[in-house]
Amino acid sequence: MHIAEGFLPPEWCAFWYIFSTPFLIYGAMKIKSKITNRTDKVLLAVSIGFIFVLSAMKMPSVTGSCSHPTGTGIAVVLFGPAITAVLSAIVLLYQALLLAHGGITTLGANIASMGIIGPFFGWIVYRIAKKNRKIAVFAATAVADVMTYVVTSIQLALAFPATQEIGGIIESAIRFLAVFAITQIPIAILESFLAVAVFDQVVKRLEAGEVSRA
Amino acid sequence: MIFALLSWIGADEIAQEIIKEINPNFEPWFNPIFEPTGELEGFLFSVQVAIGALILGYIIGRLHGRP
Repeated sequence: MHIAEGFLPPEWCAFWYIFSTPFLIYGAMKIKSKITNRTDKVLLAVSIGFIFVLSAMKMPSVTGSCSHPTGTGIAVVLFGPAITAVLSAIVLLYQALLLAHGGITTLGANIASMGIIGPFFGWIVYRIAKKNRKIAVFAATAVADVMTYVVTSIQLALAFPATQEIGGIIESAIRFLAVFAITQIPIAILESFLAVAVFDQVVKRLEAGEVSRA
Repeated sequence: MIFALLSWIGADEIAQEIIKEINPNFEPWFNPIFEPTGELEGFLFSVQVAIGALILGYIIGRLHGRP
């Protein structure tokens, strides 16, 4: 889920655009330098391919509502949040323009949740659990996915507090979280299995290839 | 049977309802420039999957065939 077109007040749309822009610029610069390396080019393609596939899968969940995974796990594990922001922005733009899913006005906010802050938490988890790579990728993907929706809930709560006090923001956040988080947890776990499988296949083969070439 | 009772509507639509409950006066201030109809939406979603799957399949296939 992304925040739908027009569903954030203009000032919040502007805020999240301003928040996301530096990450996009830095990420684009990083991609430009990475793309000259053949291995990185392949890994970048895998990262965005995974985001394209996963973020289009609307899946039913235990709560009787449906949602979709984010697919940002592989990207953030391989390249960190800045590049993930750029890759997510491409998918979000596709969905905003062609599918009326998300929106142009809420693009900044959706990049912040799906491309930057959510994956950032996944990235931290990966760094901590790095020793066992499979477990690290699994955990990072799940965390990036769930945190994306936690951030979305907070974004909505900031814009729509139940009352005008701090408590109102928390109250709203809990209401949005109750919808998103519970729907998202089973989807995130499913996504993580897929991410580990793809990551394992691609990275293992790439590394094997590099060894044999050397 | 149970599945038929549930609506499986998008979590984002539920969120929009919550927004309207919290702030009944809020109206979306911008509408999507282009909104696909049901059939077209399904197609465009599958195009998105196809693009991604093509990239993944190509790379994994290529790496697989590498000596």
